[in-house]
Amino acid sequence: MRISTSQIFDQNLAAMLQQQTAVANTQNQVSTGKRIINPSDDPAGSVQILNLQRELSLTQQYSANATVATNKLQSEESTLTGAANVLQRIRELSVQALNATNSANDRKAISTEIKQLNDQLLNLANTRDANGDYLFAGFASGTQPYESLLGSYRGDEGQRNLSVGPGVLVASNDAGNQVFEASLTAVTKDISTEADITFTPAPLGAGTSTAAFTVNDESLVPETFASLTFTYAAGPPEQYTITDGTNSVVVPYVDGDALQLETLDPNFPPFNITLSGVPEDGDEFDLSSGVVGNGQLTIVDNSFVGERFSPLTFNYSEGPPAEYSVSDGVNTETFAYQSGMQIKLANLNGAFPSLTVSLSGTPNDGDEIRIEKAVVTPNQTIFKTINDFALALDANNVSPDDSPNNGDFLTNLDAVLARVIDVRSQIGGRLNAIEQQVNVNENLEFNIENNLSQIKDLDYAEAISTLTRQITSLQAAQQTFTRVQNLSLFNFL
Amino acid sequence: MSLLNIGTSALLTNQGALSTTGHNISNVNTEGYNRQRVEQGTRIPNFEGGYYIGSGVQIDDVQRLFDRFLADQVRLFSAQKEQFETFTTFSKQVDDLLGSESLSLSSGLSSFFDAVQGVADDPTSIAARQVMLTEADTLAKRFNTIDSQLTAFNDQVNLNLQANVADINSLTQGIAQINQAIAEADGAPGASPNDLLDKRDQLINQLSKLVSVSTVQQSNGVLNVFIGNGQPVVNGNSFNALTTVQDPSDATRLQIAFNANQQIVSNQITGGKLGGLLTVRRDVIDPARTEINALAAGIINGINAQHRTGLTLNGQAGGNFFEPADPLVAPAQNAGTIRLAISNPRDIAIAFPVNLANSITNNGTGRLEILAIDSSDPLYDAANVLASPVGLAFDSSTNQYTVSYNGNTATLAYNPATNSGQIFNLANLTFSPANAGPPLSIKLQGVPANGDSFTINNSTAGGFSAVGDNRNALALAQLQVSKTLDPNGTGTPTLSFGDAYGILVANVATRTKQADVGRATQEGLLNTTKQRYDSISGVNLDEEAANLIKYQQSYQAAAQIITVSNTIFDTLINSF
Repeated sequence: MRISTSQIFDQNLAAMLQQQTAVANTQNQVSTGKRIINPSDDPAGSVQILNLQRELSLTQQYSANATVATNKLQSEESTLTGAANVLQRIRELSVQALNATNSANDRKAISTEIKQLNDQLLNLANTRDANGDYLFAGFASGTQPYESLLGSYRGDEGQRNLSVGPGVLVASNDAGNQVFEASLTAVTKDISTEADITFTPAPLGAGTSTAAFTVNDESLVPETFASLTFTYAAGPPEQYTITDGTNSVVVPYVDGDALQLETLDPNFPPFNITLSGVPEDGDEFDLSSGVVGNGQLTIVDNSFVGERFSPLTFNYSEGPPAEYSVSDGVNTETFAYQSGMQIKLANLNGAFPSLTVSLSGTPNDGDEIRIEKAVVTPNQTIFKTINDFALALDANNVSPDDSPNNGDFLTNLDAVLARVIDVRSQIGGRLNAIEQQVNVNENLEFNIENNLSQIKDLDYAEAISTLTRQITSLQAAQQTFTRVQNLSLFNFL
Repeated sequence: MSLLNIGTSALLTNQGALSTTGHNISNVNTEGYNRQRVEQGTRIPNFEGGYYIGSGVQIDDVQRLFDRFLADQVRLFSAQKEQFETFTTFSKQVDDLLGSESLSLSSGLSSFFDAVQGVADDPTSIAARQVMLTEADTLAKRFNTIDSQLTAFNDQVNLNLQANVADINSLTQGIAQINQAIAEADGAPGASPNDLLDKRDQLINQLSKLVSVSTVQQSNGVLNVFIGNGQPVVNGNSFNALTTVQDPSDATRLQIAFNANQQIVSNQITGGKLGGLLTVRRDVIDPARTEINALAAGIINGINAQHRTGLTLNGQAGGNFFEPADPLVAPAQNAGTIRLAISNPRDIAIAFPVNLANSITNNGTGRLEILAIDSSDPLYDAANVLASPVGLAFDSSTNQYTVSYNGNTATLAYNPATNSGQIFNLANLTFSPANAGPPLSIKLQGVPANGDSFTINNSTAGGFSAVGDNRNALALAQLQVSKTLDPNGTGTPTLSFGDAYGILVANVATRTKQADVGRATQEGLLNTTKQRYDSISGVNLDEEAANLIKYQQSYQAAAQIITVSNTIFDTLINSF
């Protein structure tokens, strides 16, 4: 092919320029250490870089969150460890205080120490973190959760979650009412009686009277009230005259009508009765309060009964033989009664709680005594529970029958202690979960950085050998250029 | 006598050949020069009675060595090369802009969402909140900068369009003038005005660097030039100017119009710098602006919707986080206008507006979690989401929760064995007597005991105290990875913010790379074609040197003819 002179020149020049561009590009790569300088160098790779960098930044943030969560949980954990120690110490002191060998003064001294420990516990519940946020106030972290020993919880039940991994949320706090409060268990004792009704038929009657008298709501019957006398007059009109000796009311008789005594006269007791049947003129009912007897029940030993138990009902029957029947609603046992006797209930029936009770006094037939250990208040702060106990110690009220008595206090203290320990172990679990996630994050971070480097970073060995090759060919192009340019026929003219 | 004439003709012819060779040598570096060659022929012989005697040599023609097909090829490839080159110049700038570390929206988004998580870690920390505001501001400023850069590229395209159109007009005017001169000179038979033709071809070459052209040769040597799909820019000795006019649909853009009828011909124009400018605007700058605006709108709407759901540190309803876009401005200019709507760190809405009070007396292990609040109702007020507390009470005999809200009740079937962990939208339950449920989505877990109950109430009820609540921050942070953008309008969001930016970068990068490859291809084609063109039309100095020697020797020989003729004449004279 024919070649024009300027073509030789242009071609050589273009080749050199091309080589120079290639050298400059490689040099730029070498000096920045990057394989991709502009996204257009590798569009797919640069999008991968963007995605990987986003993942990396997210993962690093997860690690930062994990550090924050770990710090918060660790400070909560150490606070709870302190609280558990204080509670243990209070438990030891209270066991010691309940020991029968203590004098009233000894107990006062122990009570003082318990009160101090209680204040310390309250301070722990009001612990703040470095930002001045209360640890145990839920979301209401600016609100002091417990203002005083007797005050109730003022925070909310919010649990702040931190994300420590993709979709992995870890709670970084616990609400105070989930830690320092438990439902309060107490033994209640209720000595109730039924109203006594005596019926006196009309002295001159035909003996055909079917008059009946029912007390509708035994639970409303007060322990004592002034006896009432109901006297029937055949009339007409048919009517009963009701008198307590001072006040007297006349009511028309309607078979089966319920009468609210208190509304007839304010001096009458507050319960309902129903009069029914066909009475005879002059029939008379006497209604008097039932406790004639003074039967008493005292819990002598309940130290082994921490659990709640269903109500136990003791019913006295005059007999003979005089005996109590005791029932938990399912099982019923009967035992002979002697005043001052002590009986261990579990010996009667294995289903009964292992209480030892003492029965005394002269009960009346039908007298009923109920004891129950159940939730009295749904929620009570441990501070109030301890405070109540300390005050009882001050007053030297330590018998099992006193409230808050020995077993109940320890039960309630243990309930809160169990909560504190439970929350602490939850925190341990969370810290473990965080640690595992942190390991996952670190691995992920390492992998991402590895991938990023593979895509983004330059292979120096390859780049430098490329550079050397490019420089060599540039030099070759330059040398041939000068040589070829020297070739001209005009040189020989 | 004839010998003298023959010698003279040889002298003159060789002189012409030497001149042409000299012309070739002197124009060896002249752009657009096509080498010329003297075509020699014998003169008409004299008829001397019975036979013809040659009468010497003459110059038949001075020929321009020119291949029209190759010339057209060179123009075509140079138009395409210029188009890709201009395209690459601009798209590389966009590419640099989007790829730059200091302006990257990708790292801006990451930093912003990291700051959101920082606030989630410490909702009450004013410092963390301030960092979030600062990062959000940085993100907004990056959007603004990218938008203003893209606007600047658009302006640059406009300026270049104007300059190129002016160049085209002066070139077409020149071609028309040369057409006139050629038509006048072309009259003499056998003589073509080679240098004028070179000049015109050179102008057309320059024109084809600006825009793809096609040419039609007329019989009188005049060349008509067309652009696009047949718009005549040169017609004989007259030319039709192009102009730039404002795009009727977007005042910020210029379009190319054909002067004769002011008709916009931008879409018909291909090739050359003009074609490159128009395609880079259509394929790179405009889509980038659209996508960056859509991304900004997505961020504004997504963040604002979640932010409005929550409560500020003071317990007030969170308003807009970013200023909402002005709906009256179309097309949306969100990237240019995005900025923060709040300046006080306490006004960042980090708390959820509703709170759960699951009674501590619950005996079962049932748990309730408030997952989301639907704030799409235009009347939504974060400070007062619930008209009354929402109560849920479990009945284990029927395995259902009774949901009570605002005097209405509904039942929610929950079988702990199969439904644990399931998400329920309370708004979808059927309430009676009035069917109006709370706008809450909840997750139920575990085995609740009979009678266990939960109560959900406004966080503001009884005075806002939940300053440590970070649930809205967690929901905001979730926007980083959740797919919220729906570019295809399918109704199912397919892209996260980061994905959308990645696609934008990838689109620009791919087009830039394509154009770069295209440019290299066209450059290669152009070089090959140019070599072939030059091998016909280019001057080779060695060849000319040889010709120089050849014609010099011929000239010397012709001079000998004159001498011989003179000697013959002297011989004849002296014989007398």
